[in-house]
Amino acid sequence: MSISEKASDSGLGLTETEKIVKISKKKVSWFKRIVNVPNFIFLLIWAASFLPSRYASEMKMGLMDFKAFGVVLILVEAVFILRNGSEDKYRAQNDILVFLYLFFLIWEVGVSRLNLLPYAFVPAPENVFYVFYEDYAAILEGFRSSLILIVFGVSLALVFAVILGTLVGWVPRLRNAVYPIVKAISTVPPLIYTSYVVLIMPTFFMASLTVVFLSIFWGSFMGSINNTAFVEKKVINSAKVLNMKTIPMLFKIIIPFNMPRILNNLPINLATALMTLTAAEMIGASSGMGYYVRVSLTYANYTKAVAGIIFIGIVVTILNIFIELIKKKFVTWQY
Amino acid sequence: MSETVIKIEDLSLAYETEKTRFEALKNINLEIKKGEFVCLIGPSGCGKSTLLGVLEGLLEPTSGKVYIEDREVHGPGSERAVVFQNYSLFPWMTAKKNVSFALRESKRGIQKISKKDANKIAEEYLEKVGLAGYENKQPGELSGGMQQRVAIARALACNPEILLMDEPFGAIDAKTREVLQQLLLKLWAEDENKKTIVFVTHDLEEAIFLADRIVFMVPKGIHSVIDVNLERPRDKEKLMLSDKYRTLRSRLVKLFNNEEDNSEFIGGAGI
Repeated sequence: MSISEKASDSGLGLTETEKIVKISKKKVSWFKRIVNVPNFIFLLIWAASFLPSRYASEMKMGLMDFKAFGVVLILVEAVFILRNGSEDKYRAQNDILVFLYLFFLIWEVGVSRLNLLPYAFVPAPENVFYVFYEDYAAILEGFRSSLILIVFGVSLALVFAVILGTLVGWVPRLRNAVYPIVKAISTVPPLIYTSYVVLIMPTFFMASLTVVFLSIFWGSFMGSINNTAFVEKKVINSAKVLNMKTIPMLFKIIIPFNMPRILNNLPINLATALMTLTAAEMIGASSGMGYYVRVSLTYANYTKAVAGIIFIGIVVTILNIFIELIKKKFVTWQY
Repeated sequence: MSETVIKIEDLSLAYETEKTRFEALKNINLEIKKGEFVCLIGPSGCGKSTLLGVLEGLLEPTSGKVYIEDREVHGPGSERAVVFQNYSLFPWMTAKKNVSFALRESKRGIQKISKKDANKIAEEYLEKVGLAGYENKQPGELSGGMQQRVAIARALACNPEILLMDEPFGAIDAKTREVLQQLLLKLWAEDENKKTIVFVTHDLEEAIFLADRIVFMVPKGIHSVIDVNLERPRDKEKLMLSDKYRTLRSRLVKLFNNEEDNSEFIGGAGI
């Protein structure tokens, strides 16, 4: 039953201590997926929706149909029940959902039913989620134009930052000269010069791209210089004894070695990019998610503004899930 | 069999920082013959890893010269391959890729090896070290012992004249270490064109079991060179019972103890 022929014949095969035993993780049972605290709160929200609404009778804009909110609830619930989690992740996901549903419950009962905050800028959940249905064309257009800028800007910034940062980190003379300068520049928050960049660039597209690029570039550039300095010495020595030249060394050893760290930083980078972009959009754009929120606020349509804010949150979450998937596929190791 | 492959002449090496200067090696002279298995041994901080670093081409001597087959050494070369202590594999590559990548890179500019051929050679060497079936695992999925097997396969696949080993089994459990020592001797012995091995260790028994000659080092230099006249193939259990082995061992233990009394701690064994 031996895997190795040659080595094990002479008794030099793998010893018992060398072999690695894997423990498979337990899956969550269907009973546990359905009977739990979050699902109890889920039912409470539905039950609350049947209570009489003071919001509908007291507020000018009235209360929209529960359908849109209901669809959102069902989508969240479907993802929760059908997820493919192991036991240890299950508890955390449970807790997250408890928070989310509690928030929805308080929102539904406090605003839609009891109208405890009778102000125009505290919209009911029914109305907020109805915006997604009613105004989906404008929201998707904003999403499209923002997403193009983010994906384009972040990738461009990362490619430049990683290649240049690795090169600078690798050559001591360059590092000593460039690092202090980069350190000084990277501490300036990009939000400070956003309005200035919007002003001087010919088109808003160029301006946003520059803003997104700058918001990511300096930090990642500095990170890459640091990462290069901290690559495991023995890995570098192993490559050095193969007589590798500088360029192959950077592209075949240093950058692959730092890949997990680069991907780990991607969620933070995305959040930063989104923050600066939406800020830029609020200053001078004619489309985009930030623009949507700004216009809604200008016209005192707080329901739309809240919907826009929630939508941005959902987009970021989906992007992060997407990054996690990429990481699982391409980074199968951690140092 | 008796031609000299490695010749070290008046080698000195000092580490310099802004304020201090630390002399790690001073006036070292050593000749190593083709096909010889030499162990460098000595207390920590004696410079054995530094000396190996010079042979690897990773450290430049302050003065003196190192010749390999009459050519002066500057930087690494494809006639040498190195096995480090641990964590030296490329963690994002599979075992097979680690071996084939090293093979192709080390022969770059000398010999063109296609990816297919490199993979075939890699598989062959992984099988030789007992890792058939583990070709597509990454280092993180392998135990320490398995990782060192890959490191040995990686070094041997490049088919170097000289194999430099820097405490390769230092971080491995005793049982596995013995198996790997035997495996190394077996692979070394069955090679037609016998490789010259320079092996750094701080384990006396390991040195006696493996070496033809033991170079005993003290801080900055070589204290003595001891011939190990034990027949090969060696069997550890029989060896332990032989008088020759015991005399040799007690001699080395004495050397170790004398040295450790008057040598202070100077630093780690890393380069």
